Amino acid sequence: MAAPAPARALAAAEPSERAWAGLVAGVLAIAALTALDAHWGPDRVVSGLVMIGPFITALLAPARFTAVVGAVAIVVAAVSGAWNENFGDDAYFLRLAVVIAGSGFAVVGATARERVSADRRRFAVLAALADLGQDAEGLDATVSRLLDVLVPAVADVAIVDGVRDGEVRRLGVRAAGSHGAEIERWLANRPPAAPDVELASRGAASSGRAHLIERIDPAMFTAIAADEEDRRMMEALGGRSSITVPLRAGGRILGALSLSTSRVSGRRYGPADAAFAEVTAGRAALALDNAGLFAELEITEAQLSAALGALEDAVTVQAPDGHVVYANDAAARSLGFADAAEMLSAPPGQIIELYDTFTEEGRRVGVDDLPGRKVLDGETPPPLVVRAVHRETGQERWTVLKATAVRDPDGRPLLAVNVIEDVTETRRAAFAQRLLARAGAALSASLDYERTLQQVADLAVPELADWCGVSLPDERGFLRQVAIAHVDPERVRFGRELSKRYPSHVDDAGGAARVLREGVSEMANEIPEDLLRQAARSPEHFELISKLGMRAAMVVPLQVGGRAIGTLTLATAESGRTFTEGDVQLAEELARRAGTAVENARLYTERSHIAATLQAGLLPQPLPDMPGWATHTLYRPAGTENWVGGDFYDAFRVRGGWMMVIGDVAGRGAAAAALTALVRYTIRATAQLLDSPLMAVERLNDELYARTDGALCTLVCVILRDTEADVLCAGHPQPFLVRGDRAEQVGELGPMVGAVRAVRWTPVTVPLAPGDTLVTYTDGVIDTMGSAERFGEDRLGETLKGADGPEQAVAQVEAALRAFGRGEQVDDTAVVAIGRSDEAADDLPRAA
Amino acid sequence: MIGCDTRMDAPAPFTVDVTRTDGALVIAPEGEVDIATVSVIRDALDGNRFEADLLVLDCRRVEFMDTSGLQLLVQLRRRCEESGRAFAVVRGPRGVQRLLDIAGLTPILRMVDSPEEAVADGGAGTG
Repeated sequence: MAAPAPARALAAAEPSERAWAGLVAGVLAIAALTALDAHWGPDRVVSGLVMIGPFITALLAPARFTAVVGAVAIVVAAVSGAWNENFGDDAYFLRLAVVIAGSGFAVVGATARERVSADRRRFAVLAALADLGQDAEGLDATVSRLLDVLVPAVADVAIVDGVRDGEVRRLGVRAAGSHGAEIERWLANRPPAAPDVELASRGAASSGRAHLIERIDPAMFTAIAADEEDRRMMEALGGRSSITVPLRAGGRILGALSLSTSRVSGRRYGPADAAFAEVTAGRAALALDNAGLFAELEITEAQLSAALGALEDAVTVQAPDGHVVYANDAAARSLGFADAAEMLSAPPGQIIELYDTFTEEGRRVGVDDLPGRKVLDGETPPPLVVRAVHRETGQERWTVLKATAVRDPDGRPLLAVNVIEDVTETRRAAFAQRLLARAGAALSASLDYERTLQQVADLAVPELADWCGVSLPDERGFLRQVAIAHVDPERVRFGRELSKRYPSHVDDAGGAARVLREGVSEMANEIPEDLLRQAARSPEHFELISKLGMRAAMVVPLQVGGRAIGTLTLATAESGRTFTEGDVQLAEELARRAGTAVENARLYTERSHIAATLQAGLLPQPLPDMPGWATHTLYRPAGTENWVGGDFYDAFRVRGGWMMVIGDVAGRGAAAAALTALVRYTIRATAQLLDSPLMAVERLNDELYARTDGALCTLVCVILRDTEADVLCAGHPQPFLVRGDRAEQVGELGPMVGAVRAVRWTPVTVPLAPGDTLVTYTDGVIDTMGSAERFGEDRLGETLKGADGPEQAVAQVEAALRAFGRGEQVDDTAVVAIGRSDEAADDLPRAA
Repeated sequence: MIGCDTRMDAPAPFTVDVTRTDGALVIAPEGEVDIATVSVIRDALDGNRFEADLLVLDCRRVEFMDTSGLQLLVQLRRRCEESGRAFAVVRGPRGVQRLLDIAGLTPILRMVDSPEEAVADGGAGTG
């Protein structure tokens, strides 16, 4: 009996039809021999040969059939005396004895043959069951194969019931015979609970022993039938005997196996069959357990897959060899596969090969750096943020990789579960915000826009692009590369050299020139060789730009008020990433800010250049060389920003000598500067035109009073004549005349210029001898704040005492102020000291 | 005295009291009157537009004054003169008084020792 087709092999050993054939053959043989014996009569007696009949039957049929035929043979032998006319003689009895003995042997032989064939069937069944456990099949397939093995080899009807979570389920039914299909349908739908599992679990659960009913009493049918139909089916089935045995595996009751014989085979089970059923059930239980566990695993896996499949985050499970054994659809999609199945079929290592992967810092990430791999190596890695650029599409994704291990009972990692969180959107949004904020800060920090543009370019690299450059057109129309950035300084030098050697011109057809002309961004995620060749000036230029290995590029305009004043170029090479529409928008925003900053810086530079030029003209100039007079000045404007304050001094030739003016206009800044200019030039012009220079102050007063904006000024005018000076004070502190150890204020206080209509001032004439020094100053000197009080006129007088000449007078004032002053200087400070010069003194007649 | 007091704080410890009485507005700055604080006085004045026959600038609590203060003083005097109102200045500490002297304004201003003196004299005399 071969294993491959156990069911068919066993069916061949099925006795029923052969048994009938054996019975018939035996009876026919007896009949034939009897006929011959009767025909020949007493001459030839062959009645002893009828024992051949039971032997023939014994070869084909079971013992009971053989016994029947044997009985027939004995009867024939007994009655043969009638036609052989030998009743009572020795030969008659001898023949009868031989037939009886022969029949007996035949029955014994038939029994032995029957037993051998049953054992053979059982072996075949066990062999087939052993096979059953080998393949990991589904539960249904396993049950079906089990039933194939058992029916009809050892049972006419076999039922497998399963128990799961306390619920009994009919797993399979098989019935032999011509009405098999009908019986199967009936039994399959019959609630399994009643006798079988009950019996199995009650009587046999603990022992695992079979429950044998050797002879089924038809009276039982009525008792256990659910209804009339049920009872009718039971009768139709004609059950002879049954065995119910629990299916136990791993200490659990999985269910029960019920075997029955019916009128189909006519057999009855005995204790040997029950024992065999126990062995069978043991093997079957193992096979079913495996199949069941497998099925459970399948269910768990299906549930897990369903749960993970619904997750937004990508999840993969890696075996220790790196092979991905599970991936949900999100993982497959995020890694560029159509679905999970396609991803799972990819060989290990191939997935990472699809990407150029970098850390946040731009360092390349290898397979061994991935958390999943580290987990499998027994480490506990922190989450890793990576930037992955798909090599084929150039698409960039930011992900956070987290991995945890599934360990075996010994703690060795069996699987790595990776959670891949896509943070591209948040990452880009955060980057855009950061980039714009930092660029804004850089751009507003300084007016040196070439330097700040370089800072902006540096900010964009490498997260937004591998290359970033800013070009502005120069006076000759060349697009000058004012900023260029790349993470590698060597490449920056190369790029700078390249743009210097082959500068684009605003009249060029395409590229940055067109963007500058039309103010519309251009972006290319593929840069075919043809395009480079077109753009190249020469084969050598083409060679050089090919060396950049550009993958994608975009040029956006530096927009200011609808006008492009330059271009911002972003390009990728090493990273291989491509640009999205969002990248273009970000670049445009960056360029817009850069453009505004450049324009502001230019305007400011222009304006401050104009202001500086104007202010330079207003700043007190060194006094002109006045023959016969020595002068020395001090000018300290307050603060650094508006270095033209309200203080001024001037000296110019007038009729009869020189006129020196020192003054202070009210207010600060541009308005004060403008007023300063007005005052200075009005005084200078009118003083030189009028016969009496001091009338210039009255003219100025008319001028200022006519204005209604509160234009006021204070001033001291000094007309220097040979040996004397006329001093006029208009709302201004009186000058000191320093003579040896004395210092006293001179002049008469008059109102400020512009305060009152039609005022006249009274000049005071002061003699100026050689060695005398006239010191004029502005209120910044006397208002200088010390630790407790202001410097004041008295302290100034004390300071000036003993000063020998203008230079020393100024030096003493400056030293005193420096020693006295505390805190920031709040007001302009001016000092002009005048004395007779030595040569002038020499020229003068001693008599004077 | 009726009316209300308005106290305005400047970045520096500088305040301006504006007092209204019958027919008189008294402005009393306290602290240093310079380019940084003079706008506080201007704002206080702008916020108290009313018809007064007399405007009094009380300089008794003015610690220091620069040309911006002088400019304000000159402007107030001129505004009153043009609108036919009287303007008086209450003398301040020595430094302030010296500044007014230097500026040559003392002779052309109506100087009093207290606001009450100015009110008592009424519109007598002009600035």
